[in-house]
Amino acid sequence: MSLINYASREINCKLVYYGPGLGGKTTNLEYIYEKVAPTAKGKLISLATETERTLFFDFLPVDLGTIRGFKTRFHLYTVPGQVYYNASRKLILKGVDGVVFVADSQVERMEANLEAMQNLYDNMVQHGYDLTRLPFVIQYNKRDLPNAAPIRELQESLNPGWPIEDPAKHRPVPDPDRPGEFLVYEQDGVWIERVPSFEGVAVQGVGVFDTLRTISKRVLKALG
Amino acid sequence: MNVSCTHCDTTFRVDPKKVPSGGVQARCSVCSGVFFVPEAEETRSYQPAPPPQPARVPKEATPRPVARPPVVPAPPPPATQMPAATVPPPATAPPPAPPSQRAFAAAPPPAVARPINPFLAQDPATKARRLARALISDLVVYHPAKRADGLRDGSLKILFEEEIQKCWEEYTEQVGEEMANSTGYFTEALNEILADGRPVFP
Repeated sequence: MSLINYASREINCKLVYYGPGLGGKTTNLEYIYEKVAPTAKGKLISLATETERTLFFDFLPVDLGTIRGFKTRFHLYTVPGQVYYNASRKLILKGVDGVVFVADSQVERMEANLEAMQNLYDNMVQHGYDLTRLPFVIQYNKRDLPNAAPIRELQESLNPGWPIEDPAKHRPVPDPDRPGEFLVYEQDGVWIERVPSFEGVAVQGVGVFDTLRTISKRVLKALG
Repeated sequence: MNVSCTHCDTTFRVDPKKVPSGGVQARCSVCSGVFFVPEAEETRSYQPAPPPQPARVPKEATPRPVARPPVVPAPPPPATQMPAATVPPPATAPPPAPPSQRAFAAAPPPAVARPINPFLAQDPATKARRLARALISDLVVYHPAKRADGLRDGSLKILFEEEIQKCWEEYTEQVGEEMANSTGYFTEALNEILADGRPVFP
Protein backbone atom coordinates (compact mmCIF):
# COMPACT_ATOMS: atom_id res chain seq x y z
CA MET A 1 0.00 0.00 0.00
CA SER A 2 2.29 2.76 -1.21
CA LEU A 3 1.90 6.17 0.38
CA ILE A 4 2.29 9.35 -1.61
CA ASN A 5 3.93 12.41 -0.10
CA TYR A 6 2.92 15.35 -2.28
CA ALA A 7 5.09 17.83 -0.38
CA SER A 8 8.31 15.96 -1.13
CA ARG A 9 6.92 14.48 -4.34
CA GLU A 10 7.79 10.97 -3.21
CA ILE A 11 6.03 7.65 -3.40
CA ASN A 12 6.80 5.54 -0.34
CA CYS A 13 6.96 1.79 -0.88
CA LYS A 14 7.32 -0.89 1.76
CA LEU A 15 9.54 -3.90 1.11
CA VAL A 16 9.57 -6.68 3.69
CA TYR A 17 12.37 -9.22 4.01
CA TYR A 18 10.74 -12.41 5.27
CA GLY A 19 12.13 -15.85 6.05
CA PRO A 20 13.26 -18.30 8.71
CA GLY A 21 15.32 -17.29 11.71
CA LEU A 22 19.04 -16.81 11.14
CA GLY A 23 18.52 -17.09 7.39
CA GLY A 24 20.17 -13.77 6.47
CA LYS A 25 17.40 -11.15 6.35
CA THR A 26 19.22 -8.78 8.66
CA THR A 27 22.49 -9.39 6.84
CA ASN A 28 20.81 -8.40 3.57
CA LEU A 29 19.54 -5.18 5.07
CA GLU A 30 22.79 -4.32 6.78
CA TYR A 31 24.70 -4.83 3.55
CA ILE A 32 22.29 -2.62 1.61
CA TYR A 33 22.43 0.05 4.30
CA GLU A 34 26.19 0.06 4.25
CA LYS A 35 26.32 0.54 0.48
CA VAL A 36 23.65 3.20 0.07
CA ALA A 37 24.99 6.76 -0.07
CA PRO A 38 24.56 8.57 3.28
CA THR A 39 22.60 11.39 1.69
CA ALA A 40 20.05 8.99 0.22
CA LYS A 41 19.18 7.00 3.33
CA GLY A 42 17.48 7.47 6.67
CA LYS A 43 18.51 6.05 10.02
CA LEU A 44 18.86 2.33 10.58
CA ILE A 45 16.35 1.55 13.30
CA SER A 46 16.51 -1.65 15.26
CA LEU A 47 13.60 -2.99 17.28
CA ALA A 48 15.07 -5.65 19.53
CA THR A 49 13.37 -8.58 21.22
CA GLU A 50 15.17 -11.05 23.49
CA THR A 51 16.82 -12.96 20.67
CA GLU A 52 15.81 -11.14 17.50
CA ARG A 53 16.07 -7.79 15.91
CA THR A 54 13.71 -6.17 13.48
CA LEU A 55 15.53 -3.74 11.31
CA PHE A 56 14.10 -0.86 9.40
CA PHE A 57 15.43 1.91 7.23
CA ASP A 58 14.32 3.89 4.24
CA PHE A 59 16.27 5.12 1.26
CA LEU A 60 15.82 6.87 -2.01
CA PRO A 61 17.42 5.00 -4.87
CA VAL A 62 18.96 7.32 -7.38
CA ASP A 63 18.94 4.97 -10.34
CA LEU A 64 15.29 4.01 -10.56
CA GLY A 65 13.96 7.21 -12.12
CA THR A 66 10.60 8.77 -11.37
CA ILE A 67 6.96 7.87 -11.86
CA ARG A 68 4.96 10.82 -13.21
CA GLY A 69 7.38 13.21 -11.60
CA PHE A 70 7.44 11.41 -8.26
CA LYS A 71 10.56 9.84 -6.85
CA THR A 72 10.24 6.53 -5.07
CA ARG A 73 11.45 6.03 -1.51
CA PHE A 74 11.81 2.44 -0.38
CA HIS A 75 11.23 1.43 3.20
CA LEU A 76 12.97 -1.84 3.95
CA TYR A 77 11.93 -4.01 6.88
CA THR A 78 13.04 -7.34 8.26
CA VAL A 79 10.79 -9.50 10.41
CA PRO A 80 11.75 -11.65 13.39
CA GLY A 81 12.30 -15.05 11.82
CA GLN A 82 11.91 -17.24 14.86
CA VAL A 83 8.59 -19.03 14.53
CA TYR A 84 7.04 -17.84 17.76
CA TYR A 85 7.24 -14.14 16.92
CA ASN A 86 4.33 -14.45 14.55
CA ALA A 87 2.42 -11.47 15.93
CA SER A 88 5.32 -9.14 15.05
CA ARG A 89 5.70 -10.66 11.60
CA LYS A 90 2.05 -10.21 10.85
CA LEU A 91 2.11 -6.60 11.99
CA ILE A 92 5.13 -5.75 9.85
CA LEU A 93 3.46 -7.19 6.74
CA LYS A 94 0.66 -4.65 6.97
CA GLY A 95 0.79 -2.30 4.00
CA VAL A 96 3.53 -4.26 2.23
CA ASP A 97 4.25 -3.50 -1.44
CA GLY A 98 6.79 -6.21 -2.10
CA VAL A 99 8.19 -9.28 -0.34
CA VAL A 100 11.66 -10.79 -0.44
CA PHE A 101 11.79 -14.27 1.03
CA VAL A 102 15.31 -15.04 2.24
CA ALA A 103 15.61 -18.81 2.46
CA ASP A 104 18.39 -20.57 4.34
CA SER A 105 19.88 -23.05 1.85
CA GLN A 106 21.15 -25.41 4.54
CA VAL A 107 19.49 -28.82 4.38
CA GLU A 108 18.90 -28.70 8.15
CA ARG A 109 16.77 -25.57 7.77
CA MET A 110 14.43 -26.92 5.11
CA GLU A 111 11.58 -27.40 7.55
CA ALA A 112 12.06 -23.89 8.90
CA ASN A 113 12.03 -22.55 5.31
CA LEU A 114 8.80 -24.37 4.55
CA GLU A 115 7.18 -23.20 7.75
CA ALA A 116 8.24 -19.59 7.16
CA MET A 117 6.92 -19.72 3.59
CA GLN A 118 3.62 -21.21 4.75
CA ASN A 119 3.46 -18.56 7.46
CA LEU A 120 4.00 -15.85 4.83
CA TYR A 121 1.16 -17.16 2.66
CA ASP A 122 -1.12 -17.46 5.70
CA ASN A 123 -0.34 -14.02 7.11
CA MET A 124 -0.84 -12.40 3.71
CA VAL A 125 -4.25 -14.02 3.41
CA GLN A 126 -5.14 -12.81 6.89
CA HIS A 127 -4.36 -9.25 5.81
CA GLY A 128 -6.48 -9.77 2.71
CA TYR A 129 -3.48 -9.66 0.35
CA ASP A 130 -2.89 -12.08 -2.49
CA LEU A 131 0.76 -13.13 -2.60
CA THR A 132 0.28 -14.48 -6.11
CA ARG A 133 -0.42 -10.93 -7.34
CA LEU A 134 2.11 -9.02 -5.28
CA PRO A 135 5.75 -8.34 -6.21
CA PHE A 136 7.58 -11.26 -4.67
CA VAL A 137 11.16 -12.53 -5.00
CA ILE A 138 13.05 -15.39 -3.36
CA GLN A 139 16.71 -15.38 -2.39
CA TYR A 140 18.43 -18.68 -1.61
CA ASN A 141 21.04 -17.53 0.84
CA LYS A 142 24.16 -19.22 2.25
CA ARG A 143 25.04 -20.82 -1.08
CA ASP A 144 28.67 -20.99 0.02
CA LEU A 145 28.00 -23.52 2.78
CA PRO A 146 28.87 -27.17 2.13
CA ASN A 147 25.49 -28.37 3.43
CA ALA A 148 23.50 -26.16 1.03
CA ALA A 149 20.68 -28.04 -0.70
CA PRO A 150 20.66 -28.08 -4.53
CA ILE A 151 18.86 -25.11 -6.08
CA ARG A 152 16.53 -27.40 -8.01
CA GLU A 153 15.23 -28.92 -4.76
CA LEU A 154 14.82 -25.53 -3.15
CA GLN A 155 12.95 -24.22 -6.18
CA GLU A 156 10.60 -27.20 -6.23
CA SER A 157 9.80 -26.87 -2.55
CA LEU A 158 9.75 -23.12 -2.02
CA ASN A 159 8.94 -21.75 -5.46
CA PRO A 160 6.34 -24.15 -6.86
CA GLY A 161 4.48 -21.35 -8.65
CA TRP A 162 0.77 -21.13 -9.20
CA PRO A 163 -1.58 -21.79 -12.12
CA ILE A 164 -2.31 -18.86 -14.41
CA GLU A 165 -5.99 -18.59 -15.18
CA ASP A 166 -5.82 -15.71 -17.68
CA PRO A 167 -5.36 -17.25 -21.18
CA ALA A 168 -3.79 -13.99 -22.37
CA LYS A 169 -0.82 -14.76 -20.14
CA HIS A 170 -0.37 -18.29 -21.45
CA ARG A 171 2.97 -17.78 -23.14
CA PRO A 172 6.46 -18.73 -22.01
CA VAL A 173 8.43 -16.03 -20.19
CA PRO A 174 12.16 -16.75 -19.92
CA ASP A 175 13.79 -16.04 -16.59
CA PRO A 176 16.25 -13.21 -17.32
CA ASP A 177 18.41 -14.21 -14.36
CA ARG A 178 18.46 -17.96 -14.99
CA PRO A 179 19.35 -18.84 -18.57
CA GLY A 180 17.39 -21.78 -19.89
CA GLU A 181 14.70 -21.44 -17.21
CA PHE A 182 11.28 -19.85 -17.36
CA LEU A 183 9.17 -17.73 -15.03
CA VAL A 184 6.05 -18.71 -16.96
CA TYR A 185 5.88 -22.15 -18.49
CA GLU A 186 3.49 -24.92 -19.42
CA GLN A 187 3.56 -28.25 -17.67
CA ASP A 188 1.08 -31.07 -18.26
CA GLY A 189 -1.27 -28.64 -19.97
CA VAL A 190 -1.21 -26.12 -17.11
CA TRP A 191 0.43 -22.72 -17.31
CA ILE A 192 2.45 -21.97 -14.21
CA GLU A 193 4.06 -18.77 -12.98
CA ARG A 194 7.04 -18.78 -10.65
CA VAL A 195 8.65 -15.85 -8.91
CA PRO A 196 12.20 -14.69 -9.67
CA SER A 197 14.86 -16.26 -7.47
CA PHE A 198 18.49 -15.49 -6.72
CA GLU A 199 21.39 -17.28 -5.15
CA GLY A 200 23.02 -15.35 -2.37
CA VAL A 201 25.88 -15.20 0.06
CA ALA A 202 24.59 -12.19 1.96
CA VAL A 203 27.62 -11.89 4.27
CA GLN A 204 29.70 -11.18 1.17
CA GLY A 205 26.98 -9.18 -0.55
CA VAL A 206 26.54 -11.81 -3.27
CA GLY A 207 23.04 -11.64 -4.74
CA VAL A 208 21.91 -8.91 -2.33
CA PHE A 209 21.56 -6.11 -4.88
CA ASP A 210 20.31 -8.44 -7.64
CA THR A 211 17.47 -9.35 -5.31
CA LEU A 212 16.78 -5.75 -4.31
CA ARG A 213 16.90 -4.49 -7.89
CA THR A 214 14.39 -7.08 -9.05
CA ILE A 215 11.91 -6.54 -6.23
CA SER A 216 12.20 -2.75 -6.66
CA LYS A 217 11.51 -2.98 -10.38
CA ARG A 218 8.53 -5.22 -9.78
CA VAL A 219 7.12 -2.83 -7.19
CA LEU A 220 7.56 0.12 -9.55
CA LYS A 221 5.92 -1.84 -12.36
CA ALA A 222 2.97 -2.60 -10.10
CA LEU A 223 2.68 1.11 -9.28
CA GLY A 224 2.97 2.27 -12.86
CA MET B 1 -5.11 -30.17 -17.32
CA ASN B 2 -6.25 -28.08 -14.39
CA VAL B 3 -8.68 -29.57 -11.88
CA SER B 4 -10.11 -27.86 -8.81
CA CYS B 5 -11.48 -29.59 -5.74
CA THR B 6 -15.11 -28.57 -5.38
CA HIS B 7 -14.79 -28.56 -1.58
CA CYS B 8 -11.63 -26.58 -0.87
CA ASP B 9 -10.85 -25.07 -4.30
CA THR B 10 -7.32 -26.46 -4.34
CA THR B 11 -6.08 -26.66 -7.92
CA PHE B 12 -4.34 -29.81 -9.08
CA ARG B 13 -2.39 -30.67 -12.15
CA VAL B 14 -3.70 -33.89 -13.69
CA ASP B 15 -2.50 -35.61 -16.81
CA PRO B 16 -5.63 -35.72 -19.02
CA LYS B 17 -4.58 -39.15 -20.26
CA LYS B 18 -5.05 -40.51 -16.76
CA VAL B 19 -8.73 -39.61 -16.71
CA PRO B 20 -10.82 -42.42 -18.22
CA SER B 21 -13.56 -41.62 -20.71
CA GLY B 22 -16.64 -40.44 -18.87
CA GLY B 23 -14.58 -38.95 -16.05
CA VAL B 24 -13.71 -40.26 -12.64
CA GLN B 25 -14.35 -39.67 -8.93
CA ALA B 26 -11.29 -38.38 -7.13
CA ARG B 27 -10.36 -37.73 -3.56
CA CYS B 28 -8.65 -34.44 -2.75
CA SER B 29 -5.32 -35.00 -1.06
CA VAL B 30 -5.74 -31.73 0.85
CA CYS B 31 -9.27 -31.84 2.32
CA SER B 32 -10.13 -35.50 1.55
CA GLY B 33 -13.35 -34.41 -0.16
CA VAL B 34 -14.54 -36.44 -3.13
CA PHE B 35 -15.24 -34.68 -6.40
CA PHE B 36 -15.84 -35.54 -10.01
CA VAL B 37 -13.09 -35.05 -12.59
CA PRO B 38 -14.59 -34.86 -16.09
CA GLU B 39 -12.83 -36.18 -19.12
CA ALA B 40 -10.67 -33.52 -20.74
CA GLU B 41 -12.08 -31.77 -23.81
CA GLU B 42 -9.04 -32.46 -25.95
CA THR B 43 -9.04 -36.11 -24.95
CA ARG B 44 -12.61 -36.42 -26.17
CA SER B 45 -12.00 -34.51 -29.38
CA TYR B 46 -8.71 -35.83 -30.56
CA GLN B 47 -8.33 -39.17 -28.86
CA PRO B 48 -11.60 -41.02 -29.08
CA ALA B 49 -9.89 -44.32 -28.44
CA PRO B 50 -6.75 -43.72 -26.42
CA PRO B 51 -4.25 -46.56 -26.40
CA PRO B 52 -4.31 -48.64 -23.24
CA GLN B 53 -1.81 -47.59 -20.61
CA PRO B 54 -0.26 -49.95 -18.15
CA ALA B 55 -0.98 -47.64 -15.27
CA ARG B 56 -4.67 -47.29 -16.00
CA VAL B 57 -7.07 -49.36 -13.97
CA PRO B 58 -9.59 -51.13 -16.20
CA LYS B 59 -13.18 -50.11 -15.68
CA GLU B 60 -14.32 -53.64 -14.98
CA ALA B 61 -11.86 -54.00 -12.17
CA THR B 62 -13.21 -54.43 -8.68
CA PRO B 63 -14.51 -51.06 -7.56
CA ARG B 64 -11.83 -49.34 -5.58
CA PRO B 65 -12.80 -47.47 -2.47
CA VAL B 66 -11.96 -43.82 -2.66
CA ALA B 67 -10.50 -43.90 0.79
CA ARG B 68 -6.74 -43.85 0.89
CA PRO B 69 -4.29 -44.27 3.70
CA PRO B 70 -4.33 -41.26 5.98
CA VAL B 71 -1.79 -38.58 5.22
CA VAL B 72 -0.90 -38.16 8.86
CA PRO B 73 1.22 -38.77 10.71
CA ALA B 74 3.37 -39.71 7.77
CA PRO B 75 5.61 -36.81 6.75
CA PRO B 76 4.80 -35.10 3.49
CA PRO B 77 6.93 -36.68 0.79
CA PRO B 78 9.50 -34.45 -0.87
CA ALA B 79 8.24 -32.73 -3.95
CA THR B 80 10.94 -34.25 -6.06
CA GLN B 81 9.67 -37.74 -5.45
CA MET B 82 6.04 -37.08 -6.16
CA PRO B 83 4.92 -37.41 -9.76
CA ALA B 84 2.49 -34.86 -11.09
CA ALA B 85 -0.31 -37.38 -11.37
CA THR B 86 -0.30 -41.10 -11.07
CA VAL B 87 -2.73 -43.94 -10.99
CA PRO B 88 -1.54 -46.62 -8.62
CA PRO B 89 -1.70 -50.17 -9.93
CA PRO B 90 -4.49 -52.36 -8.53
CA ALA B 91 -2.01 -54.49 -6.62
CA THR B 92 -1.27 -51.61 -4.27
CA ALA B 93 -4.91 -50.73 -3.68
CA PRO B 94 -5.61 -49.37 -0.21
CA PRO B 95 -7.59 -51.46 2.26
CA PRO B 96 -11.38 -51.48 1.80
CA ALA B 97 -13.20 -48.46 3.10
CA PRO B 98 -16.14 -48.58 5.48
CA PRO B 99 -19.47 -49.23 3.74
CA SER B 100 -20.44 -45.58 3.98
CA GLN B 101 -17.47 -44.61 1.86
CA ARG B 102 -17.89 -47.41 -0.66
CA ALA B 103 -20.89 -45.62 -2.07
CA PHE B 104 -18.50 -43.26 -3.86
CA ALA B 105 -16.54 -46.06 -5.40
CA ALA B 106 -18.00 -45.96 -8.87
CA ALA B 107 -14.62 -45.61 -10.53
CA PRO B 108 -11.03 -45.68 -9.45
CA PRO B 109 -9.67 -42.33 -8.35
CA PRO B 110 -6.86 -40.83 -10.40
CA ALA B 111 -4.95 -40.51 -7.13
CA VAL B 112 -4.77 -36.76 -7.36
CA ALA B 113 -1.24 -35.54 -7.01
CA ARG B 114 0.00 -32.86 -4.71
CA PRO B 115 -1.41 -29.44 -5.50
CA ILE B 116 0.64 -27.20 -7.75
CA ASN B 117 1.27 -24.92 -4.82
CA PRO B 118 0.96 -26.70 -1.47
CA PHE B 119 1.25 -23.39 0.39
CA LEU B 120 -2.08 -22.19 -0.96
CA ALA B 121 -3.97 -25.02 0.75
CA GLN B 122 -2.65 -27.30 3.42
CA ASP B 123 -3.96 -30.16 5.40
CA PRO B 124 -4.28 -28.96 9.05
CA ALA B 125 -2.40 -31.99 10.39
CA THR B 126 0.49 -31.47 7.97
CA LYS B 127 0.60 -27.82 8.97
CA ALA B 128 0.62 -28.68 12.67
CA ARG B 129 3.40 -31.21 12.29
CA ARG B 130 5.54 -28.81 10.29
CA LEU B 131 4.92 -25.96 12.73
CA ALA B 132 5.97 -28.15 15.68
CA ARG B 133 9.15 -29.18 13.92
CA ALA B 134 10.00 -25.63 12.86
CA LEU B 135 9.45 -24.28 16.38
CA ILE B 136 11.76 -26.88 17.86
CA SER B 137 14.37 -26.62 15.13
CA ASP B 138 14.53 -22.90 15.93
CA LEU B 139 15.53 -23.81 19.50
CA VAL B 140 18.38 -25.87 18.13
CA VAL B 141 19.80 -23.12 15.90
CA TYR B 142 19.28 -20.29 18.38
CA HIS B 143 20.71 -22.10 21.43
CA PRO B 144 23.35 -24.53 20.16
CA ALA B 145 25.58 -24.35 23.24
CA LYS B 146 22.72 -24.78 25.69
CA ARG B 147 21.48 -27.76 23.72
CA ALA B 148 24.92 -29.36 23.73
CA ASP B 149 25.06 -28.92 27.53
CA GLY B 150 21.60 -30.39 27.90
CA LEU B 151 22.38 -33.39 25.75
CA ARG B 152 25.64 -34.01 27.58
CA ASP B 153 24.22 -33.61 31.13
CA GLY B 154 20.74 -34.99 30.48
CA SER B 155 19.29 -31.61 31.51
CA LEU B 156 17.45 -30.60 28.34
CA LYS B 157 14.08 -30.49 30.08
CA ILE B 158 15.29 -28.08 32.73
CA LEU B 159 17.44 -25.91 30.50
CA PHE B 160 14.77 -25.43 27.84
CA GLU B 161 11.74 -25.33 30.12
CA GLU B 162 10.93 -21.70 29.39
CA GLU B 163 11.51 -21.89 25.64
CA ILE B 164 9.49 -25.08 25.31
CA GLN B 165 6.62 -23.44 27.17
CA LYS B 166 6.71 -20.47 24.78
CA CYS B 167 6.79 -22.77 21.77
CA TRP B 168 3.88 -24.79 23.11
CA GLU B 169 1.83 -21.62 23.62
CA GLU B 170 2.52 -20.47 20.07
CA TYR B 171 1.81 -23.96 18.76
CA THR B 172 -1.56 -24.28 20.49
CA GLU B 173 -2.52 -20.76 19.47
CA GLN B 174 -1.84 -21.49 15.82
CA VAL B 175 -3.14 -25.05 15.47
CA GLY B 176 -5.82 -25.01 18.16
CA GLU B 177 -5.88 -26.89 21.45
CA GLU B 178 -7.72 -29.86 20.03
CA MET B 179 -5.14 -30.53 17.36
CA ALA B 180 -2.27 -29.83 19.77
CA ASN B 181 -3.58 -32.17 22.48
CA SER B 182 -4.86 -34.94 20.24
CA THR B 183 -1.64 -35.42 18.26
CA GLY B 184 1.90 -36.12 19.32
CA TYR B 185 3.64 -33.85 16.83
CA PHE B 186 5.05 -31.50 19.43
CA THR B 187 6.55 -34.22 21.64
CA GLU B 188 7.74 -36.05 18.55
CA ALA B 189 9.59 -32.92 17.41
CA LEU B 190 11.10 -32.40 20.88
CA ASN B 191 12.48 -35.92 21.02
CA GLU B 192 13.54 -36.15 17.41
CA ILE B 193 15.05 -32.70 16.93
CA LEU B 194 15.94 -31.20 20.31
CA ALA B 195 16.85 -34.46 22.05
CA ASP B 196 18.59 -35.83 18.97
CA GLY B 197 16.34 -38.89 18.70
CA ARG B 198 16.36 -39.81 22.39
CA PRO B 199 13.03 -40.32 24.17
CA VAL B 200 13.61 -37.53 26.68
CA PHE B 201 10.16 -35.99 26.51
CA PRO B 202 7.25 -38.27 27.40
